Amino acid sequence: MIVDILWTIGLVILFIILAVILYKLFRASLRVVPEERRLVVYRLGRFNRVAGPGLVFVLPVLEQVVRMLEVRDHPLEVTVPGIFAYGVPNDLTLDLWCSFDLVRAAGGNKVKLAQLVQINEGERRKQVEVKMREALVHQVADLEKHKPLPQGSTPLDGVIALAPGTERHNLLLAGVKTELEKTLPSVGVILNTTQPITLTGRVIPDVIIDAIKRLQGRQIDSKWLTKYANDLRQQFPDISSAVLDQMLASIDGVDVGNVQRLRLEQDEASEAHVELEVPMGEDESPTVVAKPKVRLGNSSEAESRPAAAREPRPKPAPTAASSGPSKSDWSVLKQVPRVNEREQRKSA
Amino acid sequence: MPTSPVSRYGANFRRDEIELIIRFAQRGDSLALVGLAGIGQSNLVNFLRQIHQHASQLGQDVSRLHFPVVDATYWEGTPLSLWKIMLDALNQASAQFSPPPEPQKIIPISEEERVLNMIRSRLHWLCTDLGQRVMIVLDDFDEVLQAGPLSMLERLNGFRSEGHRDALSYLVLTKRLPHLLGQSYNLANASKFYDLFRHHIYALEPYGAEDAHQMLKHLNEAAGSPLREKDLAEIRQLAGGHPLLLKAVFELWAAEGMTGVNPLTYLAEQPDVQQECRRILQGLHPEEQAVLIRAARNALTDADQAVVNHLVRRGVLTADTHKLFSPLLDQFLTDYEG
Repeated sequence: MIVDILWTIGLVILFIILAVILYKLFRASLRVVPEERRLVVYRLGRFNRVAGPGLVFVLPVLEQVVRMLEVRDHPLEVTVPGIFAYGVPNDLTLDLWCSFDLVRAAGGNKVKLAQLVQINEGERRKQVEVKMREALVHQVADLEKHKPLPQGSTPLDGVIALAPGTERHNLLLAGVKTELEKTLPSVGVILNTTQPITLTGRVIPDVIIDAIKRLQGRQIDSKWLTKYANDLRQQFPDISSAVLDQMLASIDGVDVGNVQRLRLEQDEASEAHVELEVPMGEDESPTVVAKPKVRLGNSSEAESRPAAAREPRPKPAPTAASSGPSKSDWSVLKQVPRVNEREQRKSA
Repeated sequence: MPTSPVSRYGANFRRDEIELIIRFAQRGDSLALVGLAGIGQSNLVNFLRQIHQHASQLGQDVSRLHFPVVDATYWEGTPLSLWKIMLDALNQASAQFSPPPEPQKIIPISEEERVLNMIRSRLHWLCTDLGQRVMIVLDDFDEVLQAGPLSMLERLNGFRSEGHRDALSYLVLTKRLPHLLGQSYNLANASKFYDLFRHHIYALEPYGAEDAHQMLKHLNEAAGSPLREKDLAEIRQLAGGHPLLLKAVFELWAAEGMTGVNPLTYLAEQPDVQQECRRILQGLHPEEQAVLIRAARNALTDADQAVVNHLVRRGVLTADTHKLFSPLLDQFLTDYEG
């Protein structure tokens, strides 16, 4: 009798233990996978499938989840350094939308899918950079072939060629998009073609910027500065030479030192003026020189201005050396309020 | 280098000036301080740089105040070099915070534009994202104001106009009046940057008795206490609270003693003292120099009245007798043959 009871109890305990084990195995085998994720399932050490989204059953003991993939569509910013375009090295940053959807990328090829799942996310991002570089190199070469710059172009033209909004810029990005659409699936990435690829950053080395600055300086000397100075004179007929010099000197590329040196010479040498000498021919460079009389613009332009604006010339702004401070100049300084004063004021 | 347990800054170091600066910084207002060469601008700047360490002594909350120091002695004469110094100063002043966010990715057209973008990004991060108050100290700014150009200085106003009016301000430290320095390009009438502080130009006067005594005590302790209180009091009286004169006189006194000589006559002839006096004089506007020399020689005229009043406010001349603040400087100017 007692033996029967013990048997029964033992069987019940065994049943409970088995039930718990089975329940735990069952729980561990069931996974709820969100919409934007997928599970990479291996069976007995070999790739079996990419499962999800929704309820996924993984065979206990036999199957393992080795990786969880994120397949949502997301923006990706990639910087590709050292892309030579029209003779100018560029570090280009492109922004695109894509998903790491391996199943779509493999296109039903299970062997290909097995290869793709072995690449981790960091490696995949690196591969996107490689594909991006390849696309940029191909498309820039193509662009340079079909849309070359004219003979004698400068680094500045090379920089401007790919400025946002230009035809070359748009063609380049369109070409890159088409190429990436084809090449990215090979690394498990699907490009979202409904979103544009955008150039969000472009860094040009300092040496190129310096070269452009030097070039700008030359261009400003020859045409731009002349036009700018004439425009200023016409717009503000009463503008003084000193103010004009100051405005010209503030332009990047204008030789500030030369303007200031001549201004100093003028102060010392009395009658002389700093003057912008504009040549008649367009190709000759204007110069800034010390002269007894100012002439700006060609003669017809000068004569077309009102007489009052031509003669007499406005005097240069007074300098510290030429006129001393007035009484009011010395009255601006205040004393720091002292504690006693403040306390007195408070009590008052 | 021996160290002294006596603090370099007394409990009330430049109390009125510091309170004024803090009040302006908290309101986002700018001001200028005009002081003689060697009047202690550097000490004031160092104090502001370490203001969080002095919070308890100040008795007010300065935890959100920051004073990046743009030391214009390193300025190389170009806007780019000024922006680089400013960026370094901002980086140093904000080092206590986590690294700033990367500036917005844009296509820089020049090195200057790149540095300006970084400054804008740092200021936005400090003033807007972190809610801090920033008063940029433009130290030793005479040369910059004198050289311009105006467009460079207007950028300083521009930084403030980009949404930081209440949080960003400037403290301009010069030896001469700012609008006289920028006279060649009409700073006073053409500059919005000058408008920021045109009504808040204050004199940085020589040390008061307490600060001068604290400085001498500090020097004396550091040198192994060679001088007595009586000697220190006499040094203070001769140098008149001018920090570099105090230091020069203290060092001479400690090295040579003053037994059997008239300290005033002896010290006035020493090259170190004369050099300091010359620096003070040369830091002034030519008209200030002329009036000061006439004051030392009791030869002031009625026409000097405006400049005399100005020099009184600077603390260089006494209000009642129009005597110089330092007998040593007085002696130097009396004998001056420049």
